[in-house]
This record gives sequence, C-alpha cells and structure tokens, in this order.
Amino acid sequence: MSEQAYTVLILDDDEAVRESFRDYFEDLGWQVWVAPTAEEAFDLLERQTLDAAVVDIRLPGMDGNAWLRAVREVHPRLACVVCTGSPEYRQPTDITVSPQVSERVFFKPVPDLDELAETLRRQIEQLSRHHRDELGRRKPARPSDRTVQREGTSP
Amino acid sequence: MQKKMWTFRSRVLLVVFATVVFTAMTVQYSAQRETERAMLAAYEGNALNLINTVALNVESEYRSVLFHESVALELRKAELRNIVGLGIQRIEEYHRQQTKGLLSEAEAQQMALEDLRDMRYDDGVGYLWVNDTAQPAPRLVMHPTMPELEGTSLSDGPRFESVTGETKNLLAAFVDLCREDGEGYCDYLWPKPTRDGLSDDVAKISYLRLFEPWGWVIGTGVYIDDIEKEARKRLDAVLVELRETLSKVRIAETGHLFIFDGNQNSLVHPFLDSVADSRSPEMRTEMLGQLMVAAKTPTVPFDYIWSKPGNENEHRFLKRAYVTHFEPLDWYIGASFYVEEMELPARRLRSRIFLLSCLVLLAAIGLAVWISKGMMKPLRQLTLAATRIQREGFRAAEIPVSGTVETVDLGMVLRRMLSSIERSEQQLKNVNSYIGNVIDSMPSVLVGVDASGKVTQWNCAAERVTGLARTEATGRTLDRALPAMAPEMERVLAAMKNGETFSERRRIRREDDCVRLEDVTVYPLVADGVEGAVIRIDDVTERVRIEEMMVQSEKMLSVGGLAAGMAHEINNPLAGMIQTAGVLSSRLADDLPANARAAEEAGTSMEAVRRFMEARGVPRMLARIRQSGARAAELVSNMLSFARKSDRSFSSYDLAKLLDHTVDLAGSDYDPEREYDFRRIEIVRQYEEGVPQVPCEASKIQQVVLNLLHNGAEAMQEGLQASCESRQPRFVLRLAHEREAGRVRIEIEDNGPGMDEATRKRVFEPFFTTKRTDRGNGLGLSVSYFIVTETHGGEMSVESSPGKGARFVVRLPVGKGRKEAESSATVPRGPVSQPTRNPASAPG
Repeated sequence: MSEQAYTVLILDDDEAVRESFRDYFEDLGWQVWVAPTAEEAFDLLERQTLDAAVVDIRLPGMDGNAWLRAVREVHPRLACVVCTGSPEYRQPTDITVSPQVSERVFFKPVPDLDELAETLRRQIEQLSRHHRDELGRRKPARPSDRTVQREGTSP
Repeated sequence: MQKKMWTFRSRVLLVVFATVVFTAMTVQYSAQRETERAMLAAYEGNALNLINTVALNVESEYRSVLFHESVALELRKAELRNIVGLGIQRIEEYHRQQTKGLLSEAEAQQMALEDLRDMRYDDGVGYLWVNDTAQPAPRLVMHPTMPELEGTSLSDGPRFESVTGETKNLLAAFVDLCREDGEGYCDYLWPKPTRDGLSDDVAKISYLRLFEPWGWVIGTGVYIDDIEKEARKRLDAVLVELRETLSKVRIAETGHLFIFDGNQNSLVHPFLDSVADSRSPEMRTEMLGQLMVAAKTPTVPFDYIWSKPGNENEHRFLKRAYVTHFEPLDWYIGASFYVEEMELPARRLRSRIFLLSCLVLLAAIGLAVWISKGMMKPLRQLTLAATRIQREGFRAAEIPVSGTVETVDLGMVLRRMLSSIERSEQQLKNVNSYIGNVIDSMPSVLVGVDASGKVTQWNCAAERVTGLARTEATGRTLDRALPAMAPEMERVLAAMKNGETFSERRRIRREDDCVRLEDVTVYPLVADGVEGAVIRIDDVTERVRIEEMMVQSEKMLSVGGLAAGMAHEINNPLAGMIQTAGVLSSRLADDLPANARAAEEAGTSMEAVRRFMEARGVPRMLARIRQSGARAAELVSNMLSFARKSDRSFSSYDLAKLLDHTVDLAGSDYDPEREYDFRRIEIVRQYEEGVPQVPCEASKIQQVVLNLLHNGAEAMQEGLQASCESRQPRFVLRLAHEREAGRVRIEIEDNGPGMDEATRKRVFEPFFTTKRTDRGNGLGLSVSYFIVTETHGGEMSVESSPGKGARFVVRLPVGKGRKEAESSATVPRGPVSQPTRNPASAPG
C-alpha cells in the first residue's frame, strides 16, 4: 500500500467500536490513538500531534460537540469527522462551518468504513489546503505558526 | 291612573275664590236674613204701632165724641128732670088744692093733665106725658102728640116694645123703673114730631118720675138722634181726618192702613177710592170676614194672597195684615203690607252685597293671580330649566337661583343634585363603556339574557358569529337570536333557576357545510335580584385541532425520545459488531501485508486460510452478520426517523425514501385490532426520476403519509368486506416533480370503494369521519391537511368517485415557501393558536 500514513485519534467511549476502528485504520497503515473520553483525548493531543480524529458525540463528561469547539481553539489543524450512534444527531451549524470538521456525519454502525477513511483523507487535505491559503494570505503576520505546525506534523 | 293635578296657581285661585264666595254667601245669607227679619220686624212693629196709634187716635176721638155726647145727654137729662120737676110741681099744686079740698081728685087730675098737656118746650118738640101704674098693664093717661093712644096700654104690637136693650112694653118698663127708684131714665125709640108731622121712630131718652098720690108716672123725653147725629158728624170729621192722614201713611211701598166697619163698609182705604175695584164682592166679603176673624188676635199677623196696586188683576202677592177691632165703633183698623216689599230692601242689600262680593272676588283673584305668579315664576323657571335639562342634557340649561328664599334654596339643591347626577352619569357612562369594551374585546361570544330568556347583552363576537346586529338581537328570545342555542333553552332556564353554572365542552355545531366545536358555558346571574344568565360560547375548533396535534406530537416526542436513546444504545453494539465483522472479513480475505505476515508466523499462508474459510463458509457467515446488523441498524433508523426529535426542524429529504420508510413503518406497525394486514396490500411505486429533495419536517410528512395509508387500507378493507369481491387491495404511490410550479407531488391512490361528492368535499373537515365512532376521532385527515397546508405551505386534495377508489394528492414546495413554512412550523408548540384558515374552504 503506497498510501500516506496518517495519524488518527479515535474518540469513543465504546470499546468494541474503538477497537474496530483501530483495527481498521491500522490495517490501512495509519497510526491510531484511542481515547474513551474527551478529557483523555485532550491530554493525548497535548503530547501528540495528530492529523485527524473520529469523534463520537455522546460521551461521558464533556461531549463531542464541546470537544470539537474546544479543539478548534487549540488544535486547529486537527481534521475531524463526527461518527455518532445517535441517529437524531444534527451537527450544530457553528461546527459544520468550521473548516476543521467534515460536513458529513457518520452514524454508527458505519457499514462501509472505507467511506469514513476516504472522508478523513479528504478532510485532512482540505484542512491543510485551507491553512496553506490562510498562510499565503497572512504570510508576514504569522511566520511562527508554520514552524510550529511543521514540528507538530512530522514526528 | 293619572290623578288630576292642580297647579299652585289654580289651587290658590280656588282657595281665594272659595273663601270669597263662601264669605260673600254667608254674609249675604245672614245679612239678608237679618235684614229681612229686621225689616219685617220693623215693618210689623211699625204696622202694629200704626194700628195702635190709629186705634188710640180713634179711641180718643171716640172718647171725645162720647164725652160730648154724654155731656149733651146729661144736660138733656138734667133738663128733662127739671121739666118733669116743673110738671110735678104743677101736679102737686093741684093735689094740694085737692087735699085742701078745693078740688076733687078728678078735677085736680083733669086740670093737672090740662096743664101738662100744654107744657111744651123746644119749639113744641118737647112734651110731657103721663101714664098710670095700673097692673098688669099700665095705661097711657095723657099724650099730647098722640092723644089717640091715651087710655091704651100700648100693648097692640111690637111697636111699643122699643126699649133699648130689651123687649118690654114701654109703659111696663116705665112703671118698673119708677117702682124701684121712684124715678129713672129710659132709652127707647119713638117717632119724633117734626114740622111735617111725626117722623119714624128715633132714639129717645126719657125721664120718668112717679107721682105717688095719684099713681102717675110723669115723663118727658128728648130725642137724642141729634146728639148721635152730632157724634156721627164728629166721627165723620174724624174719619175724614183719618182718611186724610192715613192715606198718606205707607208701610214700605204700597203697604197701607185701612179701616172698615162691622158691616164690611170700607171706611178708610187709600186705594179703593181712586182705583176701580175689580174684585168681586164675594171675594171681598170673604176677605173682610177673614180679617174680622183675624182681628181677634191683633198681634198675630194674618197672611193672604192679594192683588197689588199696579197689578190689580193678579192675585198672587203675599200680603200680611194686622187687624185690631175697635169695638165701640165696630171698626176694624188694619195695616197691611206686601211681604214681597219687606224683602225688597233685603234684596237690594243682597244685590249690593253680591256686587260688592264680585268686586272683592275680582280684586282677590287679581291679587291671587299676581301673588301666585310672583311665587310661581321662579318655580316655573326651575321647572323649565329642569325640563330642558331632562330633554337636552345637562348643558342645555342653567338652573336659575331666584325668587324667594325657598326657591333659591331649591335651585341650589337642584344644582348640586344635577352636578352630582352628571358626575355619576359620566362615571356610569365611563364604566359602562369600559365594561362594554371589555365585553366586546372578548373573543368569546357573550350573550346576556334575562329571566325570560330575552337577550339583553350581545357583544361584538356574537355579532360577528351570527351576523345579527346588537340592536336586532336585543329583546329577541335566545333561541331566535342564537338558533344554535335553541335546543339548550331548557337547560339555560334551568341553570338560571338553580343558580348553577352549566357548561358543555366541545359541543358540535354544524354551520353550512362545516363542523365547529364550541365550548358553551351558562353562568347564572343573580345581581340585585335581577335574574338572568350570561352565555359564553367559545369556538374551540382550531384549538381542539391544535390540541389534537399537540397530543399527537407529544406522544411522538416521548416515543421518539425513548427510541432515540434506545437507538443509540443499539447502534453502538451494532457498530462494534458490524465494523468488527468488516475488519474481520478484510483481515481474512484481503491482501494486507499484516495478513501475510501473520499467516507466515502461524506456519500457514493466506491462501490456505482463504481455502479453509471458503470451505467452511466463513465469508458467507461474516456477510450474514454484516447483513443482519445492517438490517437491524436500518430498522432502528426507520423507526426513529418517524419520531425523531431533531426532525422538528426542516431539512431536505428525499421523498422517495421517506415514502418507502413510511410504507415499511406501516407494514411493521401491526395492530391486531385492525381488520386488515398491511403486508397483504400490494404496493406499486411509480417514482419519477430526478425528483429533488424537499425541505420538510420528515416526521410530519411521514405522519401524513401514514395516515393516508391507514385510511386507504381501512377503506379498501371495508370495500372488500362490503362487496365480497376478491379484488387485490393495492396502493399506487406516485412521486412527481412539477417543475413549473416548483413543487413535488405525492400521490397515494387506493382501489377502495371511493367516496361520493359530499363526502369528498368534507373529508378534510375536522371531526368528519365515516369510520365508526369507536375508531378514530375524525381528525386524521384534518390534521394532515393542516400539516400540509399550514406547516409546509403546500396543498392537499383528493380525487375520488364511488367505486373508483380515492387518490390523495399532496403537493409540497421545493424551495419556495420554506421560510414561511419554517416560521409556522413552530406554531403547534406555541401557547396561542394562530392558524385560522378554514380547511373546508381550501381548494379540494
């Protein structure tokens, strides 16, 4: 597989789900981190810079929406896709408009995980394109961002 | 009954009038009576006095005549005595000669007689006569004038029994007289010797003396007719004098004095001489006879009817007479007067009093009018002002404050009263209009009725609902003003009677072709003893419909909430299962480097593993796991999508999917109560390609479709049962894009019995149902209609005819109308009902 290996965070409180995702993405050659709670995910992100995250909404403690909003501030380069078990979930508009989060929401069970992987890839590329454009537009203003980002994305 | 009212003035006038008239009449009456009495008494006294005076006068005259008469008689008597004395002397001469014996008795007597015969006096009229005293019959001895009687006893007839006062022989009377006293006088009648011989018998008085020696009675007499004549002459003179004087005496006008004698000869009468007496002698006699009788009581008036001077022929005047009898002359002296004339002064007085009274009355009335006018003027002004105020309002006039203290006070009091009334009225008006506004601004129909059920209050809502203006409705009976209440009249009256509020909720009223639901409440009124009731009618059709919708929504909501939680719980394990199965199949089959590495480490190859698995059917099993998981997930999703909380907001949906889901739901929704099995119904789908997604509330649209499917299934089942025809029940679901209109059309067609025109027209009305009453509330299609038209801005109609099935058509706008739909989507959750479009009036 000549595919680029991404680093992905699985944020889900259900272990079976977490493991099925881990297995799937590891088979793709991605590096997978898992967190059962939003708080642990934060801790992890403090230590690790990741490309993407699959985010469940119903979580013990902080829920997925709040986590997404929090992440937007501190880890804007993390591409996120919501995958929830609540069929009635509708993505809040402020989250949808964020370039960080995919418009497409996945509902568990996800019958075709390849679609999820594809969405993640597109979202990562979109996000990096977005940041490049942003950088180009504000080049003189934010030289350090790029440095930081570079350091973060290449382990 | 209007009592006769008196004005102050008329009352004053009446009092004055009555007082004056009463006084005048009293004065007049008493004055008249007094006057009459006084006059009468005066005249009567006068009359009596006159009579008495006259009588006295007559008496004195008479006495004087009598005196003269008696004096003359006494003189005559003395003369007679002297003459008889002379005769006796002569006789005594001859008797002496006899006793001396000179003469014989016969000679002496003869000579004496001769002497006596010649003794004549008074020019021969006077003479002496002699009679003897022989018994029983004395004889006339000598009579110079009638010698033929000498020797007779004058007994040959009544001629000589002329002694005054008795019937006796003259000579016997003479003898008797002399026997007693020796002498005496005797009155009798005797012819008088005149130059022409003897006259008839006239009154004569004689003196007689007895010459005892010879038993002779010598007498001489004088005729006293001259004395009487003289007396008569004197009396006549008196009468003339009386006539003279009495004729001048008048009592009142024509009252007069009169004298008549016992022979009813009128002696004095002022009129009889001059006036021809027309009265018959009989009348006169009778009259005088009565007067003579009346004379016995001289002080008692005698009344009779008589004529009057000037009216001689009319015997109709009351006359009053006083008569006294002067016995010595046998005269009746009377005074008579006309009573009528007595009344004349009184009458004159009366008319004068009357005139005076009239004047006084006039003056008094004038005064009273003036005074009452003065007194009434301020009162009248007050009345005028008050009347104007009453007629034209408070500002029409000012209450005058004038006149006397009383009217000024009255005016002040009225002013104060009026201003307080005005204030109260204004307040009342304000309160009334406020209350009226409150009542009118009520959305409820408020109708007030009195105890007899007549309308007294009729608010704007009532006008709007009935189309009957307040003025028309007021006074009508409730059942006529509000025909819808006609069947409730008895209960309304009963509520009033019992004082109990009576209410009926969701009363059905048919209006034209649509059904309205009303809450009717009757509140009995007992205020100030006035019985009545207020009837409140609220049209709750919309509210009930919305309530029904809300109940439905709430139900869905709670089910939805539960289902959502459950779905989450189910989805996670399903995800674990399906996703793991997916990873598993890829790890068993795919050419992953990790697979080959693991197989190698296990001492086998992927190829061997694949073969093993093929041989054992593992890939098929894994596929079955994934399939079954997917089905479970889909079921959960379908179930949720109907009652999904998050679907309350609009989203774009693929209606084809929505339809299919709903059909699935209808199929899985198996109710043993129902007489049909949805799964046995054939579903034909005719979906157009390229139908765009439609913004809608999926659950609502699903509800509409589900409703239509249920209705259709029921109808088909009923048709099946009714016709015993073995027709396969079939739904045809169509989906089409009306591009020009920008709408998507959903058609749900059944092959049931269809419906007639009337039913078709009313099928969307609330509470209209053809189902049995224990089944459904008749709101399903109505709510569906509401959802489509109001919530989504779409259209809903039905095409059907009996035996041809029914086709319900729902059109939803693709883009347009979303915004308004969104705003109205919140309506059912709001507290106030707002949609008022009448479903019946929408195009069908």
